[in-house]
Amino acid sequence: MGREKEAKAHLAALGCLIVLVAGILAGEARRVVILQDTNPMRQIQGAVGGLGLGASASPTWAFNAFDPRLEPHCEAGIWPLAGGPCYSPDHVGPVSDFPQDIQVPVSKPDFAIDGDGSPETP
Amino acid sequence: MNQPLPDSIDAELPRPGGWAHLALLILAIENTVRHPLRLFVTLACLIAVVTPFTVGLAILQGVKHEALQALDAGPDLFITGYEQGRNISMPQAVARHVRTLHQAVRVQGRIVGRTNVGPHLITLVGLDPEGGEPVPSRGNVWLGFSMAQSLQVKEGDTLILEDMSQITLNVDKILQKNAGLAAARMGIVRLSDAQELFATPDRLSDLQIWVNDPLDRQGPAGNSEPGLPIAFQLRLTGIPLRIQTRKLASDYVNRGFGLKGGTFYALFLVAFALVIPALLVTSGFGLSVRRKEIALMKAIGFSVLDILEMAFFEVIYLSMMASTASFAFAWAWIRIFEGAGVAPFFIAGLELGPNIPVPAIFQPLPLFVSIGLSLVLLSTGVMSTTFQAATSDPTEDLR
Repeated sequence: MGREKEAKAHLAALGCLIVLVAGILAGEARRVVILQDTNPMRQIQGAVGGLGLGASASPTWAFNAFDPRLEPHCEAGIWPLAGGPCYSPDHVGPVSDFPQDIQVPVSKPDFAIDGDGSPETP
Repeated sequence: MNQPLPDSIDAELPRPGGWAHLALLILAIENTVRHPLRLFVTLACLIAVVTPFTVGLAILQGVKHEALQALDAGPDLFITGYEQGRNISMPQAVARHVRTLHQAVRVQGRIVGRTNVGPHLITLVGLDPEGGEPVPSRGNVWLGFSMAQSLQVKEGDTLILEDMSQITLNVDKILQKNAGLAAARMGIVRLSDAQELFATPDRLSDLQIWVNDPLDRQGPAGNSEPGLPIAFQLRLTGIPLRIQTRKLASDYVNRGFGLKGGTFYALFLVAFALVIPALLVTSGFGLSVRRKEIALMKAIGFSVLDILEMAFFEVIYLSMMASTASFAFAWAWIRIFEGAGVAPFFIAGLELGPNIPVPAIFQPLPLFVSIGLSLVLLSTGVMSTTFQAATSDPTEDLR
């Protein structure tokens, strides 16, 4: 009977853990809703026009890992050894690694620009 | 032959109906409790593998959530200069030209650069006051929380930045601790201050153009079609420009996180596989006493199905214990201890300064995945050995 009581205590402990996890999940769901409505992150991102798409707090090695819009390719891939191995640790640990094969359209120069920025046909 | 069983045995025998399953469940937990060392080692093995897995997935989701917010706040067209296969700066005159086009709802010229303040690298963002959002006034800087902590400055202090030239700034505002990962080590200044610092007068590192009203936008990718006339006009400027749409940036995010998320899953599956031998040992293989227990059960009337059901309950109990405990540990590790020791593995640059709240979202999916994986792992160790013992001759095992 002693073992049975111990088993029931373990079962109760499991029940408590399940309740705790359910509470965590409920709290996290509420947190996401609050974050979406009123968070400083949203205000700052609105002010700077959106910056930082990667799992990187700083463009220490390359802007590509921080925000690939700023630099679609990793700078460390062509420096210090052009064509050699890329030493950037940004490709190893972080939970984001942006593709280097996306072709970004480039507008080719057909015309010249004058001093005030308005187009000038040749 | 039909003599009543002794009380002590009767208490452990399954009763008819639904009670039989409950009795088998209690019996299964009794079995695990009977060997505390085995219980501890098995749970420890599972928790050691499942906890980092849950932490990683939570951070993956959190960072992706921040990226989507940045994408949402970002422009429909993102323009940079282009030269020799790389992005370069562009003339500010292009921004003035785009502002004259009626398709552009909002135009912001920006400089995003980096410079050092002593040993600390700062991400410097220069914002054009004509961009439609509040920006620091000339000579002022808004500083990210982590950066301010690293530099040990507070509001009202003076900050000297030195790159191609030197500028002296007043720390006007320190951004809140929960302003996000990208803002942690950021300094926001007026565009003219950034141009002076980097000695790039009338140059922008990028130009952001909004062509859709934010409320009319269709999903994170948006609709870039209204931007086509602007792209055409930009082509007419004669400057080689790289034009990135919101859809392209959305592809970056989806592929960038999807690829790494897939690799992450794969690596952890390998880690899980490596735990199998340990679990085989701890959860039944090699425990002759377990064979004897099962033989005894068969001798007092348990069927093979009863024994397998009991073993399955044992697996469910251990999996639930390990998965829920891991989830709670992972949550505490991130939310209470701010990811100490683990967050820098998943997020680059966190090691550079004091901790900010680690971006993480705890969803039910990682919990269900870890329960499923624990079930598979433990079943591998428990069910096969139990089946072998349950189908063998009990007299041989008891001998």
